[in-house]
Amino acid sequence: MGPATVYLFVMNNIIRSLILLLPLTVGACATMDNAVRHIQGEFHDAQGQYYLNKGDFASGRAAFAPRVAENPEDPELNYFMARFELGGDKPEAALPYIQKAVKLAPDNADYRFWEGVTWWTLMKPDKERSAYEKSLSIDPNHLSANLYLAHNMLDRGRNAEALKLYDKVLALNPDEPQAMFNRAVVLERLKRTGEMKLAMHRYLESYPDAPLARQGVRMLNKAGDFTWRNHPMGQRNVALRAVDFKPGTAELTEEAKASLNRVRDILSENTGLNLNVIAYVKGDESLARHRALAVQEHVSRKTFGVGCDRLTPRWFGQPETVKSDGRTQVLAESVNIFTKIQNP
Amino acid sequence: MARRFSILLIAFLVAAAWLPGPVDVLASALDAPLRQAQDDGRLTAGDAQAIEASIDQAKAEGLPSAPFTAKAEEGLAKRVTGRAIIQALETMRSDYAFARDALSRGGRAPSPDDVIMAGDSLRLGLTRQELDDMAAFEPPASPAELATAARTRAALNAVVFPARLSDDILRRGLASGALSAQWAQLFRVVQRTREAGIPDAAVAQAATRILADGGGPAELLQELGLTGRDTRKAPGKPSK
Repeated sequence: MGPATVYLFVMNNIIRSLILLLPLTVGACATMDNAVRHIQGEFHDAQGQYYLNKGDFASGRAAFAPRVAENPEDPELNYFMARFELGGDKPEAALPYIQKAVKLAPDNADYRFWEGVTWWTLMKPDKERSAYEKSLSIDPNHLSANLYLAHNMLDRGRNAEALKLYDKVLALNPDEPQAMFNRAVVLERLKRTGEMKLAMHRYLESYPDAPLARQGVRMLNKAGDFTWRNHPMGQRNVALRAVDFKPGTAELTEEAKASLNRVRDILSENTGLNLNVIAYVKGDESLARHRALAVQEHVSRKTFGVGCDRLTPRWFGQPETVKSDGRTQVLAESVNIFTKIQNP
Repeated sequence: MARRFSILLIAFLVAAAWLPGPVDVLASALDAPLRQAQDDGRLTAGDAQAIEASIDQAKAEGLPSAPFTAKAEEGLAKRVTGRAIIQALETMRSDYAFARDALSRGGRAPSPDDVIMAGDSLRLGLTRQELDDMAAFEPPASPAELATAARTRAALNAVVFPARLSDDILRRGLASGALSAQWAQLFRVVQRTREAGIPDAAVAQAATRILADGGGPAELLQELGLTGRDTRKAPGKPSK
């Protein structure tokens, strides 16, 4: 018996028990009918959220389809059916349910928001925007509606309006990752490069492991900023803050240590992976050597299963030439880390 | 007093157990619709037996039986002829068996969901040759990834995405181990990018780059200058 079955069994019996107990408490309720409806509503909400949180849209649909057939005028049941259909990648099936939910409960900002998402899936951007705007007319601080309206504007090239909306989202939640990232995208489009870099640095420092981080790094590199770089490690590119040192020394900065700790974690998880560590210092091969060795020493930790033989240090007394977006950049001091291909 | 309370409590619990629950799921047995169809004169006894035999055969071959039952139920509900239902079940059985064998290459053990996804993909536009080719890729992918590749390719075929570009993307996805279930939605990205005037070749190039990054279709949209939406949960919460 799985947790879902146990949950449903327990919920069933709670409801059954409550229904049986109702006659004892009927004096406290306006009517028996209202009380049952209220409990059922609470139950639908709890169960619908359960399926949504679990991502089990098929089971949610199976559980709610007979109920919505029995109570077609219940907005909440229509809403959950829409969510299950949408989650199950059936936006055409979701649409009539979400429209019904909106019609039955026109003041519900969430229903309007999900109507917008459904329209997006159906590639109707005007209707999508209109739904978010209605959601925001009910609740101006609806974070999700503000965010997706900003996305809608960005897709249409209405960059200034998108920027304003992303700023609003970030005022509501300063750590909202999509708003942080796309704010930088808008700034890039508006050719406000300095602000773009600041915004992207903020995003990368908050979400260095996010899938969009690599794209963020490409944007920075394209703008000539190599304080972050993508490093091919194993089957993935890994976004890392540049490994830098206190000026003129082989002493790693705290930020560099944090980056290298991530490299160590990757090596620890992927025991078949070995890396090259290449240090470049224009005109100072000795310093380049010390820096390559410093990186090797910091990353190697026997307790993490990462021996120093997993990293092969190399050094050059010349600058590194990096190609980015078809252009060549020269970095006077740098460290590059990438997968070491094993000879057969 | 205590005895009276115990009796009341037992009576209460017995009554609770008998009261119909609000979440009882409708029985999905095929018996009732089959009987009803025969009573209505829409199905002969022979056809009803052939439908049941087809489902039994799928079970006996170790194929997941739920989709067969659902298919028969759907046909009966839509008042499709018995012959057509039997034919559809036979096609399904053949597709699922082919998919199961392709996914089982090299001793791999596909789950019922993998077999269903790959088997249905054959019905949705994937050719058997394409599934065979993907199953032969080196290094071998997991059955779950192969099933996702099958569904992704079927949907791309349906929107007439160039076969060579599909090959490039799926080869990269299977080799990198980054082909998550979300990639089955790639055809939607293609529909959206075509609407925005972005060439298919640019989509394929960006897709292989995003697969190397370990990203999904939402990141692909971003890479192509568009934004994505999460259709499963509301955004707005930090992903930390």
